[in-house]
Amino acid sequence: MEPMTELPFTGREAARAVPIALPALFGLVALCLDLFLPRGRSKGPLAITAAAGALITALVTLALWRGGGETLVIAETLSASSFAAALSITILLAAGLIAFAGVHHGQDAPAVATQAHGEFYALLLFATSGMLALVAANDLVTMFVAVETLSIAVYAMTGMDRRRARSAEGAMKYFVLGAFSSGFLLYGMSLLYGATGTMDLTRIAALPLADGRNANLAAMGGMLIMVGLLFKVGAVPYHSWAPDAYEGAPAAVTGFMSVGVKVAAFGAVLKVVTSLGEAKVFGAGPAWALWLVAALTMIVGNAGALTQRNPRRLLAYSAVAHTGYVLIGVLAVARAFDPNHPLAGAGMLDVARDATSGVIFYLLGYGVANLAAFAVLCHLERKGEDVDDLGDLAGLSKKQPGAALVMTLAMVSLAGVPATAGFLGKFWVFRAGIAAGDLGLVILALATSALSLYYYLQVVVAMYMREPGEALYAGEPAPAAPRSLDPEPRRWGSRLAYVVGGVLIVLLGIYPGERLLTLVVQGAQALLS
Amino acid sequence: MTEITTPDAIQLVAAALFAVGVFGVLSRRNLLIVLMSVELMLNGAILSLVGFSREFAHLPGQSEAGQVMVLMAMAVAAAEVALGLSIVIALFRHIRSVDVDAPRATLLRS
Repeated sequence: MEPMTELPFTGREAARAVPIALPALFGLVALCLDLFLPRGRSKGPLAITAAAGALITALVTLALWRGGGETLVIAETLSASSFAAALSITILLAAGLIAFAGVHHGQDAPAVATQAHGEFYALLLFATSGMLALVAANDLVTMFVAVETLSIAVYAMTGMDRRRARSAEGAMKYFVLGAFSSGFLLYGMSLLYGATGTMDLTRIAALPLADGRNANLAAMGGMLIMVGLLFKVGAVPYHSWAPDAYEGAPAAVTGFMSVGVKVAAFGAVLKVVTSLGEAKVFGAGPAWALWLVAALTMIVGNAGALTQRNPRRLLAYSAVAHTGYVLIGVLAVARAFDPNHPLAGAGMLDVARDATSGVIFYLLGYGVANLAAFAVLCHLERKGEDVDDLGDLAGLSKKQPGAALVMTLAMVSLAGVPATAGFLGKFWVFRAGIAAGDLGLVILALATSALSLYYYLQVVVAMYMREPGEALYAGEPAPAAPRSLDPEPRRWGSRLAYVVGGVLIVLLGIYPGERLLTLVVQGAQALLS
Repeated sequence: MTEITTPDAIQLVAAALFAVGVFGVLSRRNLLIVLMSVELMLNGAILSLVGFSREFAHLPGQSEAGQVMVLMAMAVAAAEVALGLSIVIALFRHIRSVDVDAPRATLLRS
């Protein structure tokens, strides 16, 4: 062994990793602060700490990761690029809004055990740290540790209401399937390492992998990694955990995991697809597999949502359906690296960039709408019980016009109606899908989107066209004891969260702003340079 | 060469371990055995990493990457099993069983 004369990285480089450490640091602060709050009292100070942490991290992220310059830091384990910055914005928005939305959880619950836990904020911020590391990961080791950091924190949050059987059961299902997928992820990484001799995705991308044992091994490893990541985004056939975990978890946790986990995992999916595409590991075969997964995800997600009466289960299937739409963009990126593709050539790189920008913007639009919807559901929680039936929303427009309006905006945006954030995202991704030659898939996406209007508008019908205590459908018995939907004066946190969510839905749909769009486009360029 | 532990032999054992784990997760109804099977899957993957790392022993820089991953994966597996067992206990308090098909474990079936 020769003595180490050169440092593996400089202090300047290490400073660029600060955005990943910041949320964890604020998490520790929240954990300590919780010790000084009286038991059973409002966790307002913790929510403000967490939201401040998310805001400060967002500002630091934009300052350090945006723009050009060196992007690979700390022995090439992280890529501090605009791509990571663009996705981090959605993740940090989720953390900040959910910190406020969840602050009243269990406020008026009869049992102490279901009352707000201070650990919620620490876990929220630890998971955020893992998500930021995942979107910046440039190395298989970092990627695995990041996936596990966010997953373990989210499993614990899902089971947070441990006195309720549903919460424990949802956590169990999520955990078993999540750990199962981690096994595939780790084994896939091992095979990829065996084929290439490196964990560094940049080096893997630059490798000439000729046919033979190593190319096959790498292709197998890449597929197993994709299986592990598709579990996390909830793509069919790896979606079965989603409805149960979404229903079992408290509404605030569900909102966070439906946005944060999905955005972070899609960041990793794009990274893996581009790196393995450049290394010529992924050819036409995996692209067809991805095509099939995207089609099935859209069909199963939308069909499953049609019959749901529980708003959280409905949003779970809706989240699965949205995964399918995003996969159209991912597929367009994968197609760019297929040498046998009829449109192969320089033009495909532009299509891939456009698709990546579309995916980033889509995830932001989807995230904002989902966060607004879950913030309203948090706002309507009574005595520790979430709204469990769409019929319970009857008459919300009379009792709480603001909440009903934001919920409507969220549903309309998720359905993809023009002048909302969801429409622009869908337009962008579908356009890239058509440019990449997947017209059939886009037609399927449009058809299933039209179908989705039925279940999204069902929520609106319940809120605006049914009186309180009236049955949702004609011929159905009216609820014996209608749920109270009266506004509660002390719910400032969830009100703030849904107002911000509603404003952002409209703002992103009408005028997203040049700086945001520049960041999104720069993000795509950073990934596919 | 009279070595018994050739790289391919290690990979075969690793693949077998992983496959046994996958089979266990899919076929067993007892949550504790499912958890053990998940650990078997992770151990299979870790063993395969060790094998590849050994294969690259003569190449500086490449062998270490695998070893680092092994250490990280072991730490992660330990954290995961700790959380998994606590969730099993939380669930056991409600359904008085660790069987996935237990009659009371049907709250979330639609």
